[in-house]
Amino acid sequence: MFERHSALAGALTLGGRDGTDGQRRLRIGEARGWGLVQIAAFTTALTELESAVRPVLNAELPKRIGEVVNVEGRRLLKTGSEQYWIIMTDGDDVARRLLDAVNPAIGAVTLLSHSRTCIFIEGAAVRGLLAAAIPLDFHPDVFDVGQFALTGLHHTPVLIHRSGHNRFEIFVMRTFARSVWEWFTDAALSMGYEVVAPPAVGSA
Amino acid sequence: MQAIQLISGATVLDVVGGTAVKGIVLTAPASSSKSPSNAGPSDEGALRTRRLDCDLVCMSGGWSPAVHLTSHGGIKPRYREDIAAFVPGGYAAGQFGAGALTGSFTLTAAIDEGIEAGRSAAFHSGHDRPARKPIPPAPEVASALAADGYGIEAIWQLPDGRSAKAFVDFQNDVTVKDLNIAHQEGYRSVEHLKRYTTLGMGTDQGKTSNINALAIMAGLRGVEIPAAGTTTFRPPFTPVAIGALAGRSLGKHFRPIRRSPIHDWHLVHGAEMIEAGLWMRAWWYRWAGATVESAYVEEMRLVRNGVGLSDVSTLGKIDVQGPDAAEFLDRIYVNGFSKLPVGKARYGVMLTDDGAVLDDGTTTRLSQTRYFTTTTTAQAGEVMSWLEFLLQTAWTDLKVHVTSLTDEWAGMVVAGPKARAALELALPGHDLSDAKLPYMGSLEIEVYGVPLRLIRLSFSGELAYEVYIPADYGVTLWEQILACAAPLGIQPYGLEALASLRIEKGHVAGLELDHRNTLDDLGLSKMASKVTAFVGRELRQRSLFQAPERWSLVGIECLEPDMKLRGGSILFAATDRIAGHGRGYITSVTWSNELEKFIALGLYQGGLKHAGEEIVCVYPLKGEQVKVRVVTPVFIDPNGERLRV
Repeated sequence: MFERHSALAGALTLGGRDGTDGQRRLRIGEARGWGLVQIAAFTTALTELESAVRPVLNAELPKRIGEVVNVEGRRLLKTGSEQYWIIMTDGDDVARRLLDAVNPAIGAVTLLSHSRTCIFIEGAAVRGLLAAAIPLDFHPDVFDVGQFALTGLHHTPVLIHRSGHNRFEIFVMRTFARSVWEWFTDAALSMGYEVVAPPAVGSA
Repeated sequence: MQAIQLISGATVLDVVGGTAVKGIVLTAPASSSKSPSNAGPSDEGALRTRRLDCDLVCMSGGWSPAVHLTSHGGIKPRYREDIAAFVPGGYAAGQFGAGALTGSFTLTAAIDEGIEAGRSAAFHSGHDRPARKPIPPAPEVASALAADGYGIEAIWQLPDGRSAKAFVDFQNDVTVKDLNIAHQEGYRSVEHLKRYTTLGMGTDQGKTSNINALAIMAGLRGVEIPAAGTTTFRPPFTPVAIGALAGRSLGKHFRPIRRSPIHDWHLVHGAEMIEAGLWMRAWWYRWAGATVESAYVEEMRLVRNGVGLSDVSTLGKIDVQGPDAAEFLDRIYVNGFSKLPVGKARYGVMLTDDGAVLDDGTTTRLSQTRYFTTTTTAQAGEVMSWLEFLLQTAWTDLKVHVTSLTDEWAGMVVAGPKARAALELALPGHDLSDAKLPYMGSLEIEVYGVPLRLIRLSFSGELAYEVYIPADYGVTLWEQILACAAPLGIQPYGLEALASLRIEKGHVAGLELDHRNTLDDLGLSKMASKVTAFVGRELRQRSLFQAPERWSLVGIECLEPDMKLRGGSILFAATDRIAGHGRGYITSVTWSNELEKFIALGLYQGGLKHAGEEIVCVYPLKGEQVKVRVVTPVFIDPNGERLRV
């Protein structure tokens, strides 16, 4: 049996820290138990790709970048002009079915489940923390729950998804995940933070 | 409640403090009758000033309409003196402005103009122009802003007479003095001013500085502000959090660190780490010695005589998919990939569009329409950007999609005469024979349901395999190989040994691929296709790149047993006076167990035409001169017999 090891395995055990007022205003952790597959249409083949994946996803692909379509436990995100991410739960065989459904002449299907680490941050102070990290306005009037953005954080490209009023999930490149985690926990020192223990590690 | 004193009509003349703000010097407000409690008024020059202690200074430059859309549409902004700001100089057909965009900063005006813009838009869209309806008064109706309108007094530059610096662009540290110098040196155009001083080129793109600088420049030229002109307005279009502009690039967070999936294992098992770009890599291991000098030599010996395991997760890895993938690779590499059979790998070299070598790597054909390409660690990001650039701009007709897999896959190399035996122990039940997995062949298998990709190729010059596995399983596979192959004496080896083994084999790497060298310089010109066109094909033929005396790749062997060679050393002919830049330099150096001497790769004027000649290697920083000989860069196994066992 092969055991999986998260990029944050060493960091998650370090615990939280009280803020300057003794409070812990943020909760930070790693979201696990998900997979990621990318689909992309070749030039002029977007319509064919949409037709090919519609029966698999039981949904239309999102029309604009920033919009998330939630369907059957999956999140569909448009991440490029003709490119999409599908985030699913572990055990979902949608990646295999997409590989079967998409003719290599019309589009590309790429498995990326190990390429990203998902860090979540939640709490009333979360917007204050993000204001020092990401050059976007996260006021709910501008960046609503369910919305996502492709942006930069600590000089690395990330996808940030607002999954709740005071909760954000940030998909970080795996090899930078520990560095981004350390950046977050350093920036959160004055607010105080609690590290949320991850669930048991999966294995193959 | 904070007792913050409001002083209106005053101006901050100076900021006091060295490493932190300690106070400000204010000009006395015209109508103020008393001074702040912690300071006293004083006369300085012609101005009446006072000192006020504080630790924070904020500034406001008033409102500036976001004229980007019309500006990018080719419509010059128009300056409005009453609000000291630029507004759109007009609108394209179907565009209608309202509110702050037009320079109207009250809610009442915004609503009024919004209704009018809406009516115009409806009419433009083919509807009747709807009649205006009365609207209720806006909540601000009683405010001072609504009563008095938006008023701003433009103070572009404070009266002089002080020695303190007067910053105009706080992001790029451009001062009034810099603008004066630019003007004195003849930079009249605002475009030239910008490029000469870097004004407005910070992350705010001049949002806090351009208007002030234009006004000062206009004053220097003796023209009105509109005559000074504007540059094209650029993003950000929307406000950016000040915290994000300030950032937290401090201490160990100055820049991100990139870690391999096997990083923590290296730390626990005695690896000394070294920075390689943003990566932290295992440099050498304590099992092999107490210092890098002793350890890497031992690790090399292990690979040449037994079997070693090295983490190469840092290699750039790119998924290339599509019906035109083969055509795409034919264009970006100097050698062809269309005829590469499925299941085979091939070494490739790509050029920049001006004909210099950009990078090298190995590409494996996984199916008729899918390839797995690796790049050097150093050039991974640049190559990925280059490929995307070509697909999005030059070859939009190609049906190809590229995706970085650098983070998706962990990579490791099993190298040495016992490499196959080691993998057979680690992956029982899989046929890894020479017939099944020959040199430059690839194999995709599953272990416990986890996909594994094996490619038989060699950087070290020994029998070797690159093994790739999804990143979360990287350390598990690493430990399995070490545990299962322990009876063969397997040990990990680090970057120093990895880089030294390839020197013995004469393989070029990042130190030789510095974007200045050509295929001919590196002895790779025979790879170039004579049939298909590829990026850089024409410009690599230009006369300067074909000059016979260019510095080109040679091997260097040390002729003095008690001396060592050093990277960066300058090479001179034996009869040369030792001065200046010499005839070349050493790019990479190592101790060779096989030859029992220091050897090196280097670039030397005329290259291998001088093979066999004794020359001089000079390291001025230590005052060292060593006699060396120019030799072929392939020091071991020139026929590649070890690779094919």
